Amino acid sequence: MKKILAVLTLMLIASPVMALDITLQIMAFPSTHTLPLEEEAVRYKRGDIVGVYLSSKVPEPPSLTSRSVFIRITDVPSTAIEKAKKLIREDIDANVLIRRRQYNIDPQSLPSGIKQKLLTDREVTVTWIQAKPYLIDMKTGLSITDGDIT
Amino acid sequence: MTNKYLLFVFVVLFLSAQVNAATVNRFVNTASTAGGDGTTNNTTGSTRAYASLSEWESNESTDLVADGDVHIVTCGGGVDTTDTTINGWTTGSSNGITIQCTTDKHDGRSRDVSGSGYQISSGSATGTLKLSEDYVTIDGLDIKNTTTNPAITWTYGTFTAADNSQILKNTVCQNVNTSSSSYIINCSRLNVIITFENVIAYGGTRGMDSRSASTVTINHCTFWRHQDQLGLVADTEATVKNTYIGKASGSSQDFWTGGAAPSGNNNASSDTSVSTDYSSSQASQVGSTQFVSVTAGSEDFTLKASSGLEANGASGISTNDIIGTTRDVSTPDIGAFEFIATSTRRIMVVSQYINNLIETYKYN
Repeated sequence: MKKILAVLTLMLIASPVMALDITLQIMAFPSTHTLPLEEEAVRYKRGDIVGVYLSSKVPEPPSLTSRSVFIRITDVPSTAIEKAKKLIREDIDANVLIRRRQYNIDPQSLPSGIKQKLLTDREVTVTWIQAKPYLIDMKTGLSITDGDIT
Repeated sequence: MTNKYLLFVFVVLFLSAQVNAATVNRFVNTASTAGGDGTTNNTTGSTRAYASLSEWESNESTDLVADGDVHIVTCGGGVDTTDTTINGWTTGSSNGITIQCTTDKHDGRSRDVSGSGYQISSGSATGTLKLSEDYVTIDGLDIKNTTTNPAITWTYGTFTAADNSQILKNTVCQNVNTSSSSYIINCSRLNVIITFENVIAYGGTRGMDSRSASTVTINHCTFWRHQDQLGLVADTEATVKNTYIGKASGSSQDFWTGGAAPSGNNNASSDTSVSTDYSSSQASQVGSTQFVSVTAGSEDFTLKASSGLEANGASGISTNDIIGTTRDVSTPDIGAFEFIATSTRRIMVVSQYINNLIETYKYN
């Protein structure tokens, strides 16, 4: 019995639940100058995920002149920041850039409380479970799954 | 009275035009945190530097022609791990983008070897730095792809025919793993007009492809492959001068000769392929004899005193080498480095560092 308990304890220690606390930098106010059609298609759109950072690396409030807002997400199932960076994958097909970012958060779809906080503070904290329904794969139109970033 | 009024209007218009034409300076510093506006090189405060080149690009893309601006971003700090695409700007011949390193520039070796300097490094399958605008200059960067993909590529862009200019100079590029289907540098894209000067590129894939580009000028570059892969794959679009291409071992050509012949002279190779298309060139120049180190992980392409590349270049191509050393006017060396004694080189690097420091603080 003691042996089984020891093994179970070892297994628990050896397999800790991995979770990351990350911050997404989201394009909120994209540039609006006129571009040729092929460039317009691949410019950053509102809601594109510009960057993915460990939240510990984003300690300061964002500048109010920034084009971006920041969404901190706790309990992200990625085992490493490199995995989470799949969120900034570009959509390229046969040497043609189709979209600047494959994943997008449509600000209009967010709950009004979150939207309001982003407008005033430019940053907000949510959980992974709260965030997932709003993280959309633009190629499939579906919400992101844990498997996409682990 | 009317003439005076018109004169006044012209003067006002002239002065307005002068005021509008401006250089926009921005900063990337990996010691900073995301969310700054990039207007200083500070690492705290709302005007702090951008934390990555990617963040800079997403925040600053604009119509430089309409604004009448040129845009310069100076990169510093350590390793920047986000691959970056330059796209969505409007540029022109007088309104280009420069991405540069000054105080945190490499010393002619990658950060992997020297332990210092700004480096942009990623494992992106599409390349680490992807350029898709008409007028972009890269000066003094250390660019790495951690897998088999290009350190820098122009292959995803749309470029205006006869109205674009790409410059890559004083830069170290590398990738890592071996592949016969990828390149360290790839500028094989329709309409691209590009100049390479004082570029070092090494890795496990092929060296560089320029075949679909419009005009490619390659001066004073050093390309090295750790694996048995082709070096420069080019046709008539390329003019190559004072450039060394070599490999550790194998039979893949340094200067690929399977297509239409490029132009150029005074080049060198570790095999004999340089002799096929280029006059006044040096064949069979073994890398370990020319350079301080061609060992993977400790690459140093400064010339040995006994190098066969010394004083064998054509004159009038470039005034300085990759770290700013003045080239011999009449008999420059082949490759990215001009040979000088090690002690003198250290003084040169320190001197350049101080000059760059002064330039940087002008904007802070």
